Amino acid sequence: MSFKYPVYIPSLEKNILFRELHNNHYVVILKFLANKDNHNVELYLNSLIDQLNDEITHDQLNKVDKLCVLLTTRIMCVGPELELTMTCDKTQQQYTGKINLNDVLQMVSDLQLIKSRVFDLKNNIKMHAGVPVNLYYSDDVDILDILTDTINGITVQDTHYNMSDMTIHQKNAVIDQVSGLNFSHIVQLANESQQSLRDLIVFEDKNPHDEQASVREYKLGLYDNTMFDMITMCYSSNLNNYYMSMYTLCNTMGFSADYIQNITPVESNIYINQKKQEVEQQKQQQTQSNPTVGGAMPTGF
Amino acid sequence: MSTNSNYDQIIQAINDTNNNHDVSVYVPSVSRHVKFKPMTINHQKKIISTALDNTLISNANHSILASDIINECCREPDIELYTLDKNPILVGLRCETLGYDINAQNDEGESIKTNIETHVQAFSSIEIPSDLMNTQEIVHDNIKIKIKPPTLEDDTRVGKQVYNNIKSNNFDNADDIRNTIGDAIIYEYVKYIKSVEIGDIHVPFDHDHAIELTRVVESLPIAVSSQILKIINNIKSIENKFLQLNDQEQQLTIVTDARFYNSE
Repeated sequence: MSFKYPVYIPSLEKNILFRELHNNHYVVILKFLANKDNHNVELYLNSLIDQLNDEITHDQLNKVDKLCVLLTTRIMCVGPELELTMTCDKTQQQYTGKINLNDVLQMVSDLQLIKSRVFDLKNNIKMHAGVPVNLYYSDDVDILDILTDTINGITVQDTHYNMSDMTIHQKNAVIDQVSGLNFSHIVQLANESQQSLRDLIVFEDKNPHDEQASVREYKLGLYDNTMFDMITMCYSSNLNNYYMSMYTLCNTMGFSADYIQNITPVESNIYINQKKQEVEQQKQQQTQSNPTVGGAMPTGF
Repeated sequence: MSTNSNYDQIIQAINDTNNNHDVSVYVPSVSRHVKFKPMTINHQKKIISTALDNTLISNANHSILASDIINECCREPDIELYTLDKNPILVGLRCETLGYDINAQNDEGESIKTNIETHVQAFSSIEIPSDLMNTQEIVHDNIKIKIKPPTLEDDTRVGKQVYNNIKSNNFDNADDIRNTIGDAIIYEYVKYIKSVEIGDIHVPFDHDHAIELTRVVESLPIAVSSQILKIINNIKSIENKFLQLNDQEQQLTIVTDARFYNSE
């Protein structure tokens, strides 16, 4: 039996137990991110949701549910803080900020999202709408196509088809064929659902190097890539640093590659930090016992 | 990922349903109702997209798109449709697909919610003069001009050239805007003219070359232009009857822009 932690799923209004994200998962995300392959990042995140629990699949979740899963996983398996580095436009000086992901998770979990809605069309077609499901919308998808993501199922002549697992392109190809629905209803629903996120500010950026700079608020939206960007920021890390850490853990500390692959990134960091502390202590001890270490070249050889 | 079979099944099921739910729309030029496929969400989205451009481009694009939708939905491909048919078909298609509650416009330009079912059902009673669809001839000195209401096909042909012309203009320049509006009026003349004869010279109006034809129209004497305009206005006044609502309290007009297909 492996360790599991509860993840609150807003649409189901209950907790689901998830297994940990391990280094072998994490490195796949890092590689896709390094390759700027957002499409596969989304596919992989969806598959991770399926892999890490035994109760639900990603196509049962809307994008807010997915955000909750991936934020909780990030908090539990990588860490609860997200450090950001920004650059002042005027002075080009860098400064940092921190996001407490527990706070973001709390806000997202507390959202009062719209309940699902059914559009009953006269041709014996029913369109089932709710919170959109796709995390990432590529550049070739326009805003009208994105709004269609609010449709998650369709009933034609009493046969129901689930559309939650469709790409945004597939979904639009289907919805585009439907007649009898005024598109303004979809726009109206999208506006209503977006309203619930109106006060969800995940980060306020005040540039310390420019007194005139106003505070920039970073918000999450349902019909754009802001949630996806938030997730990718949470999981971004330097791939080289990751491999250096793995090297240290295996080569210097003697862990097996298999063991390292199957622990969480936060556990790896605990080992690495411990090693760093030991190295620091050794350095200090050496400095105290032999103050000339690192000084002039030894002579007498 | 959704399986292809599932995806194909949904498309097939929707298409089957659409095919079984044709709508019947009155077409004035043939004086009868014709079967059309219902308008889809794709049509609505395309129409909304046209509204995102500036007004001149939007109007030109909307007109082309409206004709494309009519052609795409018409179940009788052999029928020759005219611009005269455009408004009643669009209004009929919209109402049969999305319902008869619309926002019409009053004289002050305000949106007024109204139901136009009675108005649409009375389309067949709107009188079209028997000679309206015939070729009419204007003779002035040695100039002979034949005029006929344009077919939807000719309207689209010219419309696409107008659209490309407008798109290539610089809308930061006031002169360009004025010229564009002027061109649009000349193009409207081109749509209605079938041929121009000046003495021995006969110029048949091939609407694939509308830009060249505008030069012919521009060279016509004002007296001739006025007579052409009179005929065009006469035809347009009939077209507009399909958009004028006989509300007892106020004059209301159906405006067939993007909002017409996306509001209620």
